Amino acid sequence: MNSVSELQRRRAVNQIWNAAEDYSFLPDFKAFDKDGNAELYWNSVIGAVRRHYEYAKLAKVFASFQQYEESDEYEGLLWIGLENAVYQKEQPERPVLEKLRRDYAERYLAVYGASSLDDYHLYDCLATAHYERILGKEPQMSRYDKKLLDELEFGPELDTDAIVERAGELFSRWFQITLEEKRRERRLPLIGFKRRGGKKEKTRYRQFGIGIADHPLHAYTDEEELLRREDEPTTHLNAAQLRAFMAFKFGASMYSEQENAELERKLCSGNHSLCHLLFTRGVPEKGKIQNAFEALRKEREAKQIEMNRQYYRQHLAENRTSIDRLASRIRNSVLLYLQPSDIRSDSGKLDGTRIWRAGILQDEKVFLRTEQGNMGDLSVDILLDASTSQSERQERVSTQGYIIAEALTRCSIPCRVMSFCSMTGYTILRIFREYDKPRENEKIFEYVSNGCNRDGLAIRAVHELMNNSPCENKILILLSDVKPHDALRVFSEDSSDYTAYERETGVRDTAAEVRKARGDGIAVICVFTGDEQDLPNAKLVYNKDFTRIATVDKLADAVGTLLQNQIRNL
Amino acid sequence: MFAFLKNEGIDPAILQRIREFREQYPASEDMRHRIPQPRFHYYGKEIWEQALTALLAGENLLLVGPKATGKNVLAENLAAVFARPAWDISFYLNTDAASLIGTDTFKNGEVQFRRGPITQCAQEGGFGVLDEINMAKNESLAVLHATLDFRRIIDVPGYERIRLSPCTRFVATMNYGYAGTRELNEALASRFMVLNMPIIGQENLQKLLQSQFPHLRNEYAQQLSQLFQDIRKKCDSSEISTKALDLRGLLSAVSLVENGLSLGQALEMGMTNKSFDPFERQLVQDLITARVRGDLYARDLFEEK
Repeated sequence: MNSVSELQRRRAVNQIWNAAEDYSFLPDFKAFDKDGNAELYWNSVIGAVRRHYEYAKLAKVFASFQQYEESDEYEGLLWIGLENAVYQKEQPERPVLEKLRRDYAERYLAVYGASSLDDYHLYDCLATAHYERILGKEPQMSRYDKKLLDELEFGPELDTDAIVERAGELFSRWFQITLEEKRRERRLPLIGFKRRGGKKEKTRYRQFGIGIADHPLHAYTDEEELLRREDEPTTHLNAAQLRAFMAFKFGASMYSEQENAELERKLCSGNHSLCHLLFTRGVPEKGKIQNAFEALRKEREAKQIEMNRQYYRQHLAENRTSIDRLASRIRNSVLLYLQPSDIRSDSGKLDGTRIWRAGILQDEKVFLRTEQGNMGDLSVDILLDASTSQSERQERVSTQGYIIAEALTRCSIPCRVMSFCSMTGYTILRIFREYDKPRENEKIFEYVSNGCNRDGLAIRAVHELMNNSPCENKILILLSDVKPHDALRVFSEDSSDYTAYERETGVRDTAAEVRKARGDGIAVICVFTGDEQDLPNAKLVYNKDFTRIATVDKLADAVGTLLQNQIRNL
Repeated sequence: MFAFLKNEGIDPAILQRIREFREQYPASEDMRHRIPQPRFHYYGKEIWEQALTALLAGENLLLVGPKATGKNVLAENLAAVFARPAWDISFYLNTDAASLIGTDTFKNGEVQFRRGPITQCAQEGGFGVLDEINMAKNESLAVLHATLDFRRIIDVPGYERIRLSPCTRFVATMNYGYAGTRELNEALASRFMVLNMPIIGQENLQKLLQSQFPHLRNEYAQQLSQLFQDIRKKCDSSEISTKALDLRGLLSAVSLVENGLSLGQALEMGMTNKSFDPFERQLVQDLITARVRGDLYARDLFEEK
């Protein structure tokens, strides 16, 4: 037994919730069989314990075991006692438990029944005896063990306090341990220790019944990490070298040099007059890695891409539900917006202007049938902010992007996914997936944050790309923290001085670009990924058309509502 | 039907007024076949009284509630109690005025008006069940405004104005909260009295099971209705979709057991397989396993006849 999949974990939690008749807590103990599948009987017991007893008091007892070396054994023994008690409480309401319990006991004995004799472990011995008793057999055991088991098998008449008291008495008498938690000896919690990308709960597996249980130690911090921007290197490269460097770093340009120059002339004006653009599909340029720093960076990126994929897989169940929900909402609003068109037919609504044909020409097609329109005239572009300020949430942003793209794909709405970042005067637009490549959503996980973000220029560039979209109606979804920041400064007319492209200047420029796009009939909406303090910026730039998502599972509803509103207004 | 209502404890005064209504408006012979003969009864005294009173007062009803709350059962029951012919009109996205009111056709060399279900129902004094009214676009329902409010008319441009028979009533149903549904606009909602349908409780579900299957053993009626509540809880906490929360499926499953399948197989067909996501099916299967044995057959579930 090595690992438990996310799906089985979620399944176990669901089994526990069901038995507890309460969905508001996250269980600490979960039971799995030796193949890593959720163990229905034990999870039902765990849930039922929650329902019949005050779990907080029991949790204290379990916590107090942690100070001893044999904590796993004590835990196991206490669970045997609880199982015995809660089974008798629950069985009258849930008669099927009898069968589930017997089945479980049989399975347990088939796996552990024989082996526990040679290698004596108190827990194994008592557990075997307990399950033998369940099957109506008289177990072979020493008088000493028998007495312990008799005492341990709590009856249904005990309430929580009585159980805690009995347990305290029993464990101190048989094992000379006290169930008072000694504060002093507690292991230092893992607070203050934080690994990038390793924010999941630390999980410990132990023997539990025939399988294992996992028992999370909540080890995470809320410590605000200060945002660190990558230092902008002042470059000594000439223009051509710099362009080559960018292409090498981010991928070959998708335009020829001339086309690119054309685009830059058109787009890099006003606030962005000294900027350059790189449009790339991430196709690697051939060339040698120039230095160790670059090599390290490449390696880091590869790791991040793997982490993005992993994050998606770890939350597979939720993500799939999100995709499903979002897809059905989009499908629904799109259907609503499609205008039906009338076609000539030999049945349906009579068309008064053509009725003469029936009598004169024997043409029976004098009726109109309503035909559903097609979705061909709506396209969606998704733009991910890939600046360093997003580095703490790269996995989440890529997963969100993927969910939206996948939902749109399922509705057969053409969608294009891009990310942008800026570096040394270049704003790089990376295209992950084109309108006509519905099978390439996986590429979105190649999203890696890098450098700064010149939101205004990026939106302007995407606006230009979208103008060439074959569809009549266009929606642009940004996943951004609305925190424009770029090293290349902006010349301000009023003060005839340069101001940094950040804060008010950056936000105002971004807002202006969003307005321009809207003026061209592109619906722009934003999924706000940033922190509380930047919310006012989002309001300023996107007006009402943005949504803030506390957890990924809210994504579908939030984006669904935004999209519905936009589609309605088309 | 009256015996059942009396049994449910409905106010006798209301029942008396229904009898008077039925005497005053007897259904015509050729419409008799449209009077529903319900297979299921709706349980719930309060809802019954509210619905009956509203209809007696000449109002139209809107039944709002999530899946498996008996909206259509109640609508059908109501038509049966009042002994009125019923028209079932399902609303969908492209429902338009023509499909409701009627449309032109070409008959015997001339254009004639072919009545739609609403028009027929209005003229025959029927009960129109407007099923899933919120599936249609609000704009296309605007033609019903005059029909549903105090004017009680249907005005088709180019034709005569049709007056509603005094015993015509409309009972609309709508499901709130799943992906396919939309808000009903104010103009339309204001033309109905709205009944919020309560979720069927454990006890009433047990009653329903036992009335459908009089030989079903008490303990299994209880466990099966518990199972339904378990599934509902899981839907409410949005761990699974509402696909497996299927009351019709549960009833059909019991009937399959009666006809020879094992309970496990029957529930799989009736409930688990309603969901097409393998993980969701697994969760539903766990709920079933934690509630009833799969290897039970008719002889276990039912008492000897």
